[in-house]
Amino acid sequence: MSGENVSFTVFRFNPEKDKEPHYEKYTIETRKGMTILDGLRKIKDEIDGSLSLRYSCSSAICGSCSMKINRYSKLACKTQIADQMKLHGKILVEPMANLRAIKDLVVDMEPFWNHWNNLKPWLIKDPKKPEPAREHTMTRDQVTAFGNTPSCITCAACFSECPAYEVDHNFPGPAALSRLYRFSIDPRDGAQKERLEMAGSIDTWLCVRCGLCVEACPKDVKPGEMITLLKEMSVKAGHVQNIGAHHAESFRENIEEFGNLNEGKLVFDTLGVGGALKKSPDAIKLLLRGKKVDKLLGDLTQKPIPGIEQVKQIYREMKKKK
Amino acid sequence: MRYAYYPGCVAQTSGRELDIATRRVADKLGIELVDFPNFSCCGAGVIDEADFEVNLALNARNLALAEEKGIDMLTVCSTCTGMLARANRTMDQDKALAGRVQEVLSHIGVEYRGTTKVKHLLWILATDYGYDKLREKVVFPLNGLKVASFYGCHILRPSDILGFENAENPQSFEQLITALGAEPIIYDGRVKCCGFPILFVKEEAAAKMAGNYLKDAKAHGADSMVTACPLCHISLDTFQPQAEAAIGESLELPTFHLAQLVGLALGLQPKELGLSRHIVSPQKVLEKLSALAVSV
Repeated sequence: MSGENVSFTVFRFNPEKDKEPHYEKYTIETRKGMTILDGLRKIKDEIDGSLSLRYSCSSAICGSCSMKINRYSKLACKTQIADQMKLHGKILVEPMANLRAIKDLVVDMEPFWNHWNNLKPWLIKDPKKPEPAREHTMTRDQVTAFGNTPSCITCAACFSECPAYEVDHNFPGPAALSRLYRFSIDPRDGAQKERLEMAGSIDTWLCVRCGLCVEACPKDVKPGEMITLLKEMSVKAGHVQNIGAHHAESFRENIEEFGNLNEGKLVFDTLGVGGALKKSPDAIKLLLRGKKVDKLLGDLTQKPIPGIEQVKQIYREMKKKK
Repeated sequence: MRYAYYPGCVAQTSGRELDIATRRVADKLGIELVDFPNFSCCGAGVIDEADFEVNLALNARNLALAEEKGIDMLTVCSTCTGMLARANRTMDQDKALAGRVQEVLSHIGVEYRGTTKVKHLLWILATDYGYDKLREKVVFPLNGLKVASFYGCHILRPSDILGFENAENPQSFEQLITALGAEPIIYDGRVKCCGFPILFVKEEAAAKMAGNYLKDAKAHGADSMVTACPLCHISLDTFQPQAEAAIGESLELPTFHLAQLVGLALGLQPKELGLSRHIVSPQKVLEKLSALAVSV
């Protein structure tokens, strides 16, 4: 790779001059180990000083240089030009998605921070618990339970990738929710009840479990997986009133009864009689395509799987173990 | 070639056409599918939201049932693939939890050893069977068809668990489409989420997600979609009218299950592949295939 010329296609937008964003191509000489950030700085230093981007530490610690590189949100300082050329055969650099581009690669982080702050991502002391004489201590298991959540550098790469936020801005985003999980299990925290109430909100259940945030996270926080753990905690704390949690509970019970999914019963259990009736126009359309006829008959006649007793025993015994 | 066939819930109920097509295709290719009527649901990523440990034990049991017969598992659903592969990983890495699961399994006379590999039909065609051999079996090359793939999240991510191919720029589906004689359409949405998991939570949000990617595929010139996941199929096909309403545009993009697309190229008739069960009729697209002068 050393000494090779590589072309960067870069998103450019200056709202003071441009009506619409456009793309510019810059060719630079690269050297071994050069990162996308190195490349952009070279472009800024040697070709076009007006290129705007955020960066600071260049060591994947500050979290300021997230951007879309070949359509995926990454830290520019942690992404090698050679690796990207090998995988995609090109270098396309754009600002993060789900956040408004202010100028070139710089985005307005406000929606990210608003959601982050709304979930109170800080330690809330329990006024009833006396302060320990020395430091707070934790067991190894308690620390392990955090996973990598304390390592989040709020780079917003996960937020930029999130398809749930894209279609519904009420979704707090992967980073904020994994932070909520992190404080919900903190033994020093005194606001667990309030936190799980927040987690029990319908907005948490907009997570689609796509795993895009898990791939994007430069610190391996696995935000999506933390959200699943958070949901489980909130369900177990009794927050099953919202439809997402109610659906998860109905699904769990459905499999305990049948072993395999009884779709009709699930719709009925999740949505209730009223909701199921509201779906009936769709059902008629399905009926016309032959889908619903054998589905309806199937649901009514569906018998539990042959191994259902084993399944039931798993449910019983796993419950006892906790 | 012999596999423990894990159809998953949807292919046994509303997406029955997937099961029908899979069996026909396997038969044509000489892949033996061993049925296990006692397999349970994989949990679909939903049970673990209510109870992570029960979900793990269910899948450990499924894997152990195949293991007893000494065969790998063949899945036709990205979600099932992801859930079962994840169970293998958790059983390997979380010894304490695995111990609790093992104990419960021992009470029902099932032993999990962790040797069963979980393989989606897409992967089996790509490697165990091989695209070269598949190409030889194609009697109706799907020339002229412009097909946009839709992988389904859980066949790709988390990549450290699935690991069959690069999750950012996967190629197996595009290579399959090419092997069948059709033209693969490359667009961002092919690796994204269909919205299915939140259909119950907020239908308009889910429909918008599907609508955005269907639109993206169409804008890139696709005349049809193909998916490796029957849950995606529900979002992309069954709920396409809602997706159209959500984005305020007409789409009319037929969506094939992977096995159906393969089946067409192998010379199976649309009816044999359950294509009449789709909400968005593939009739117009099939008419493009001059060799297939049959109605759906």
